[in-house]
Amino acid sequence: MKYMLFGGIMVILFLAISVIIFFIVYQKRLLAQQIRLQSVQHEYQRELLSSSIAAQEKERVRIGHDLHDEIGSSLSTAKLLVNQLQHTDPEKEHLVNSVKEILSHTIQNLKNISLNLYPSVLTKFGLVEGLQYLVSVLSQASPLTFTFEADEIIGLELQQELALYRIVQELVNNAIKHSGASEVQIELRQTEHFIQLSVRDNGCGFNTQDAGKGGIGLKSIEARKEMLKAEMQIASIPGEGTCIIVRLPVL
Amino acid sequence: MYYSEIACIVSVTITITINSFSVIPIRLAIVDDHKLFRQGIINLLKTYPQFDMIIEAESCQQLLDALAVQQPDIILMDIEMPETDGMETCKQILQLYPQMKIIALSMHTADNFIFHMMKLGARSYLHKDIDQDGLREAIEEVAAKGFYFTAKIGEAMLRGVQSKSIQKPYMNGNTLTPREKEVLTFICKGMTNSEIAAQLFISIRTVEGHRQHLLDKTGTTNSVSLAVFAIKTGLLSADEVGGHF
Repeated sequence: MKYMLFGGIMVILFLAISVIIFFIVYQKRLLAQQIRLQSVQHEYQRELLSSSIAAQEKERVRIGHDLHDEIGSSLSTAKLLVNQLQHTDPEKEHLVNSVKEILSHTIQNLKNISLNLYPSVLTKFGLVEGLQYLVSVLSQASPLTFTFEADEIIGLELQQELALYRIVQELVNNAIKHSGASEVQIELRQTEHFIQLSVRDNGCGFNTQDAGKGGIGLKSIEARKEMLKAEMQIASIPGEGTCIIVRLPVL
Repeated sequence: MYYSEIACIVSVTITITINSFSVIPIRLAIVDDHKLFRQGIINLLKTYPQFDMIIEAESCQQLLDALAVQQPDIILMDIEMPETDGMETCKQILQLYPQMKIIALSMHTADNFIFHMMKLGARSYLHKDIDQDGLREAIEEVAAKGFYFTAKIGEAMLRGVQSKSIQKPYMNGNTLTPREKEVLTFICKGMTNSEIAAQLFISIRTVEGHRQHLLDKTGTTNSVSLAVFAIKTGLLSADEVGGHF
C-alpha cells in the first residue's frame, strides 16, 4: 500500500515534470520561431523600403536629367537665337530684352530644380564631390555659412551614396528653413568599420522628444537610415543648436 | 550709273577674293545629341565668314566616322550624351588625334566637370548658356593660342589643383583595399568592367570607381600600365594574374 502510494506519487511527479519540460521547450521553440519570423518580416520591410526608395530615386534622376539636358539645352538655344535679334525700334528692343531676361531666369531656375532632383556631380564623381558641389551652391544661394569636411569615402554603392546625399539635403533644408542658424557644419568621416555623417547647426534646436512626430522630412531621413542599416543620433539643445549623426557600417 | 554698278561688283569680288585668301576659315565640328541646340549653333556660326562647320554629329560614333574622312581644327563637344558621353569621347578622340582642339559645351557648371574635361585634354569649357560673342571669341582664341580660359575655368582649375579631394596623391599600392586588389586582379586578367561587376556582384559604376581609385593611387593612366605596375611592384604575382605574363 505504502509502496503503491509512493509509486503513484513518483509517476505523477514524473508526468508533471515531463509536462513542464515539454511546455518550456515548446515555448522556447515558439519564441525562436516568432523571432525568426519577425526578422524575416523586418528584412522584407527593409527590402520593400529599399526598392521603393530606389524606384523613387530612379524617377527623380530621370526627370532631373531630362529637365537639365533636354529642356536646358532647348532654352539655351532659344536664348542664343533671341540674342541674334536686333531691333532699331525701341519698343521691340524692350520686348526682346524681356524675353532674354525671362529665358536667363528660367535657365537658372531649371538648374536649381534639377540639382534638387538629380545630383549629376554625385553620379559622375561620387558622394564627396557631390556634397562639395551642393555646399558651394547653397553657400551662394543662402546667407548661412556652410562648412564641409570629408575623408575619401570608398566602398559605397550608388544607392547608398544617394541616400546619404538625400539625408544631408533634408537636414540642411531643415536647418535653413526652421532653425534660424547662421552656421551649418557638415562632416563625412570614414574609419575602418563605419562611415559617419554629421550635420551640426547653431540654430534654435528642438525638443528631441517631439522628433518622432516630424513631418515628411524626418520620415524620409528615417526611411533612408533604415535602408542604409545605419544608426542615427539626434542631439539638440533648445537655443543652442542641433547635431545629427548618422553612422553606417561598411563591409 | 553703269560704271558705278560695275565698280560695285568689282569691289565686291575683290573683297570676297581678299577674304578667301587672307583668312583661311577655321574648320569646325559639332557633336551634340540635342538637334535643336546643334542647329542653333550652326546657324549662329554661319553668320561668320571665318568659321566653316564641316561636321555635324549627334553621337560619338558618328563623329569618329566623320573624323576618319576629314578633320576639323576644333570640335565643339557636349559632355552629356547617351551611349558614349563627352568625357569618354574626348579621351577616344585625343588618343586618335592628339593635336585635336576640343571645346566642351555643356549645361553643367560644376567645377568637377570643368576640371575633369580640362584634365582630359579639352582646350576650353563653355556653358551652353553662352552668348554669341563669347562663343566666337572662344573659338578664335582656341584656334590662335590653343586654349581659352574664362574666369569660371580658372576657378575650377585652381580648386582642382589645390583641393585634396579632386587630386589624389600618388601612392605605392600598399594602401589598396582588399576589394581594390581583387578588382586589380580581374583587370590584369583582361576582364571588362561589366564582367568584373558580374563576378563580384557589384554595380558597374562601383567597378569604375575602383578602377579610377587604382589608377589614381598608382599614378598610372590605363589598364596596361596598371597591370605592368602591379607586376613590377610585386603587388600581384604572375600566378595571380593567370599566367598571362
